[in-house]
Amino acid sequence: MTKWAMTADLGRCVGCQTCTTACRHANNTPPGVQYRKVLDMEVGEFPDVRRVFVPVGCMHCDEPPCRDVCPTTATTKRADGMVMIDYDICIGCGYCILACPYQARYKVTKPTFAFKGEATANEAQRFDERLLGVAQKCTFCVDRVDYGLANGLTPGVDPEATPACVNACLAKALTFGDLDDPNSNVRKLLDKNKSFRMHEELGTGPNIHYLWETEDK
Amino acid sequence: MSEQEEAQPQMRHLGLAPWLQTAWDLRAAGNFIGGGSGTGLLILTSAAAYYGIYSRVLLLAGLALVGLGLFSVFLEIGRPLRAMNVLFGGKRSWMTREAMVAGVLFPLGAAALVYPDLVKVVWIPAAAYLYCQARILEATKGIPTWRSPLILPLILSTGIAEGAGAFLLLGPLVLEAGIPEWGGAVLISALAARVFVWMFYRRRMVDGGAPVAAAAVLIAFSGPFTIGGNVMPIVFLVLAGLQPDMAVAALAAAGLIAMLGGWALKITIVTKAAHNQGFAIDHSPARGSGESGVGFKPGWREVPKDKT
Amino acid sequence: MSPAPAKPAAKVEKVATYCYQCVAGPDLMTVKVVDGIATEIEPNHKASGYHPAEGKVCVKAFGLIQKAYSPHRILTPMKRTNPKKGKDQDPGFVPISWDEAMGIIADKLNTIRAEGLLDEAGYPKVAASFGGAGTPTQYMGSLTAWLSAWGPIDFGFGSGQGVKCYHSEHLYGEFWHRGYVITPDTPRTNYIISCGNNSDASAGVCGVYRHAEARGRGMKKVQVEPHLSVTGACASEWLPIRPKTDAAFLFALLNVMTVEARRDQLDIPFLRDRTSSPYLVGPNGFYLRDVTSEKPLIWDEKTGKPVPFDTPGAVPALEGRFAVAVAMELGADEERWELKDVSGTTAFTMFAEHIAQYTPAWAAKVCDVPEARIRKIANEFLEAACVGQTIEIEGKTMPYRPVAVTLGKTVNNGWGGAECCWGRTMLTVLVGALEVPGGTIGTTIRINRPVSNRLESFEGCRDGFMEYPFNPTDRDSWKSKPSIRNAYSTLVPLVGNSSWSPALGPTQFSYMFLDEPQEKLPRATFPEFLLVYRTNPVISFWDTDRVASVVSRMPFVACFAVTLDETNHFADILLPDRTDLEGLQLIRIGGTKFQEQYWDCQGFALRQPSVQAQGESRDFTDIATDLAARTGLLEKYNAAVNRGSHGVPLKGANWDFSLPVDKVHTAEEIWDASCKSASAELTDGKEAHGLDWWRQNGFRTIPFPVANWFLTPALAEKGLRYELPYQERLTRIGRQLGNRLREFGINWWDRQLEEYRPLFGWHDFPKFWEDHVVECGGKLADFPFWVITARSMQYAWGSNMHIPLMREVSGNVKGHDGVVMNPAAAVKLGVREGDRIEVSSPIGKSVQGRVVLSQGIRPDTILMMSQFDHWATPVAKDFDVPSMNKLTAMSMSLTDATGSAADLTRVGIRKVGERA
Repeated sequence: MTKWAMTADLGRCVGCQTCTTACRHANNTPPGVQYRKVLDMEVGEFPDVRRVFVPVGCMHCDEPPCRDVCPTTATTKRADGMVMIDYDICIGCGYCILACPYQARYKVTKPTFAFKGEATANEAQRFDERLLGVAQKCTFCVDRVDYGLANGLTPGVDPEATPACVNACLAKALTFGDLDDPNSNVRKLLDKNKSFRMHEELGTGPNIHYLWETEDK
Repeated sequence: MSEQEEAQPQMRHLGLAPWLQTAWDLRAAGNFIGGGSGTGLLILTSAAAYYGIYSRVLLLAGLALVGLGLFSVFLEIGRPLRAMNVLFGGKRSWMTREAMVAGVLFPLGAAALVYPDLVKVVWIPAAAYLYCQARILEATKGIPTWRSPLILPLILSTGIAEGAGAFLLLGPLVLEAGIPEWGGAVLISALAARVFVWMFYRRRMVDGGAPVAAAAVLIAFSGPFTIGGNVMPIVFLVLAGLQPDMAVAALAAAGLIAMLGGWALKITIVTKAAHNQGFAIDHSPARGSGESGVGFKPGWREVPKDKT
Repeated sequence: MSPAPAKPAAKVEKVATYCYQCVAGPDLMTVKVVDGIATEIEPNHKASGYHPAEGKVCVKAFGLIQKAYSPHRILTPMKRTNPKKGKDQDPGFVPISWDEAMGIIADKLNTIRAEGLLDEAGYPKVAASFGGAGTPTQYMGSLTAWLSAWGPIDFGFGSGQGVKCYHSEHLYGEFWHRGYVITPDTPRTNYIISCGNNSDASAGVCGVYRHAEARGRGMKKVQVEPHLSVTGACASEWLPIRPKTDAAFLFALLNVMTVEARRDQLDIPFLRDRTSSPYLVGPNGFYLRDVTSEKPLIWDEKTGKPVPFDTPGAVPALEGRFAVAVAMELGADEERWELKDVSGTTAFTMFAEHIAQYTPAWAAKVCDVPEARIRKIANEFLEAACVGQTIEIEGKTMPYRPVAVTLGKTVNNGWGGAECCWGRTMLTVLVGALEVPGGTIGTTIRINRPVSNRLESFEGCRDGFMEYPFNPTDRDSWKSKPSIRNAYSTLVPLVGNSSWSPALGPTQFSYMFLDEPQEKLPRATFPEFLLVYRTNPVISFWDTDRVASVVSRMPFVACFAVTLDETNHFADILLPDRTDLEGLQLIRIGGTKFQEQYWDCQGFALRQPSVQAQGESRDFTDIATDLAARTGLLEKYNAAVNRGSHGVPLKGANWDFSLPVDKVHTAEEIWDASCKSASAELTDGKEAHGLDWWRQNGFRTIPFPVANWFLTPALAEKGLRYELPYQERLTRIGRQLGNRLREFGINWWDRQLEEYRPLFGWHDFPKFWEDHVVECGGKLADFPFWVITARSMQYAWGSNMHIPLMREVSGNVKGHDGVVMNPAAAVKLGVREGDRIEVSSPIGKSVQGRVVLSQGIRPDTILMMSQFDHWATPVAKDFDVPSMNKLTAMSMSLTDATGSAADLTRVGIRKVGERA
């Protein structure tokens, strides 16, 4: 079996938001819709303070609450673990947005552009009416992954088959791969590092694993 | 810009702690209000049939409330022309199940207008509909104040309380024999249950079950709701018992207040104390050969323990 | 269920190009073009294996598509119609043709040329202001050839240089070890002490990548700074030091290593053989010299005698005082002491005795860093230095010292900057970690030549050091008459006289002296023609109201403009060039330069259009050629192109693609010839690929030896030493400069002359700024806070404030929306998160902004990130976020000897509104 997952090495991430911008480009999302973004967290009190950069987005959960609540079956989970939205079925009820404990879903009801009313040439060219009034979120760049698999590439290794945020990450903090493959990059990273998953207590089985310390410590 | 983005605080970096959801507003709350009060009324109307009381007006009123609720939420969806897709998700979604139950409730209710005997079974889809509504909230994992298991008895008890309230309010106008005696008893029981569940629910939310901001809303709401929405109607019910000459008016007042109290509860839970989960980390990372540190859960009372 | 592409069957191209918006470039990238429209920026994965960060692309590059298609772009040349120039005046720009615009500019220039290139005061009538760090040259095509053809130009009207750069490091670093920019050897280093160096925001893709890799292998970084920057966030430890006291911290580390540590923990062979530590210092403070050769003396332990430093077989004594029978000292000017029976003290002993006063206990009080932490860090540094170990690189055995010390902006600028540079360099010197693998290395030179290889930039001088092109201070050749308005060659010997020097000098003087004439200097005059490109000094300089006032009085200003901004608001002519994704240019890449830009290869990269030129925008090379033709400089200009002023000489050892000098050539012709020549240069003349090949391939490199990253082995090969710790040359030059200035009657530079000392010491640097409050007529109690700034990776150097995507994603990083303040300070002030405050400085200026609470800042300090406060730039003018640039003083008393000032001032704060 294949189970796509991501690791985010918190020791590496610098919060530069290059993944955010790369995602905005790759997925042509409207202003403010960030499938991938990096949070800037401050932990502790002066002078014992830490600042932690935390990449977040859809966790492609094992038990996605968004899928469970979806009244239309627009949200589904593929056999390889990716949680998908069929924009042609979704009615935009917003229920999945509320069900997601990772705040990963967005709904945009009217065309919006970087420079307010006016679409730039690239925005006009890429405008996709299907995404209005429906839920949208990170797809793990499924089009790249599927293209790669169809062309004999390895997602997470070959850039053409890898999510844009991972390709763009300057610090190599983000890694994508098959959790079920013992030789995959993500599996190896998880073997070497201690990790946690966000809000794991909610039973969602999220598939972004946060690395926070090496195992040898 | 997305709706969420527009609702983000002006200081953009503050979007770490849970913030008030914006996907569902008063229109969605309207569904829970109409659905709760409507099904509650239908359940009481159905129960009354066993006592030989039959009122088309109450039946219609109950169905109308449910229908208004559904229409209200219809106004909120992004693609209304595809509204019937809502029926596809019966395998998992309580929203689909609610819609399916509505598909039984309305024909049955309509038929009961013609065949009064059918009123006796209207309570079944009505109760199912009310239960679906409770489960809709409970399944919303992203909103801590909704996903609490206590939301189930709370929504059910307030539905009955609202329905009983509507029954006491409308009964004198439409029932020739007036309100049956058990009407007041049902309301007082439902109110007692509601306030009892509320106390537990509120405490659990305030004790770390909900983000601080959501808990604060519940704390602020609790006094007025307990006194105004629950104690006051009980007082009116007691007054009705003590002063028979004022009974009709007192019962109606008790019913009205009990119903409005339920509506306020839903508006509060659905649109005001509806903060999302926010973000959290279990550990601060080690940077290079530095030390790792504790986790962080902004906007919550509890801080997850460092598991090291 | 996957989302199908919205518009399938489109024609998709990937155009290889580069982004060089900031000093940390170039980022090699590809632009995805769909049906002729640029849609996505992506890394150039083909550069993996060549580019140090696998061809990844910085966040700023992703804004370039919005920059190209922005509706706010200026797309035709424009002419000002309102002769009044003021912040409150509408310039009344109207579109004109290129012919008219270039005609107006050429008329101005031709009149100047006819009447003389210098004005009556001797200053160039033409001035140019270009953005910092040399980035504009990566975009200005062959304009450099026109500048070269024109003749004298005043390049001193800076855009922040001296405050926004690493100024002291540039000058002292290049002087001591050919390190204009200094970084760790990040791929190998294991321990970094970073005083405010914000590399994770400002060292670009390579910086982020390399430091992350280093963290991955367990590198430890101690970040010392008043606020917790993104780099501090990524460091292993944060020490919130009191502003401007870094020198005390560094001196205390030196103290622990010199006074408390065992000597064998230091790199004794390095100190003895590669530094001037064993040189004997005489009673007058200069080296004791051999009376015949005039070479500095050392004490030879083998013979027990003083001998010239380069005596074969001598074993220099590192420490001690020695009796010398006959010697001499050479002082300033004619000072010359013939000495008998004197005591000579080694420079190292002088250093050790000097540093003994700076104990950790003393420093703890000064800089608010606990004594135990100081001691711990010094000892960790010593332990991590691996003294005695070696590493093999490309077959060469070199010392391995994986420790580094880096300095940030403000630490590195203004008073105290020199002391920090010296302290930092001495820390690495004590353990032999200077310019060796794993240690602290320079990456580029800008004052010496050749820029392409710093290892070839020196021979030895008499005293056994690398020679240095000081501006002369001797009586015969000191330049009493400045060549440009900021008087860099008159006042700052260290800044030298390369093409970069004018913009390194005290650039604030270019603005200051126009209104504050200084005694004995020719009165500064307004240049008759000011050319501005890729810079916005009215926002990015300091004391910005004053800069605006000066620019508004410039007789004629021509600006290349992407959008309207605060500087071109005062322009007479606006010219739209083809921007980042539209233009054509070949640049050099690789080798070693700037922030973390040291590659194991070198070569060229092409910037080529991926976006169709918008409106009437013109390629910069075509503009330069047109300007050359209209100003009668075509032949000189073409000759400069042939020489390689634009980056590539068109003629080499066995190839010649020179262009006829008497003809007008198109941009394509010029860059085609350049591409051919570049190909030939990389293949020793074997290949001559033209523009078409480079368009397809984007870049090409040949290996660059990693061994060339390190200067010390090259220094050793020539038998030379670093002049550290003792500063004999600087002391002499400082005294000579003082003599010249006194002879000339200049006494307003006296305080700056005090920086020329043989051993740098602590002065109460914060007090310099506190005294400035009083100098301005204020009371210190009214200005209880320090304000500092920090670079934003999303914005730094990018001229990209008008790009909404940058605004959006920078919002995810704390500090981009207001004034960062510690909650304890907020409680004292009675303000809460989001409240509106007014921040006032002693120069009578104030700004307003919202409070952003953070535990990651000292309670006595506030932070204003980046450089906001725009009032004309579209999009940015609606941010409502303040900048400290308006608050910072442009003053002689806050200018140090290198001509630099610091991004620092005392401020007062009051609440002016509740959170909206």
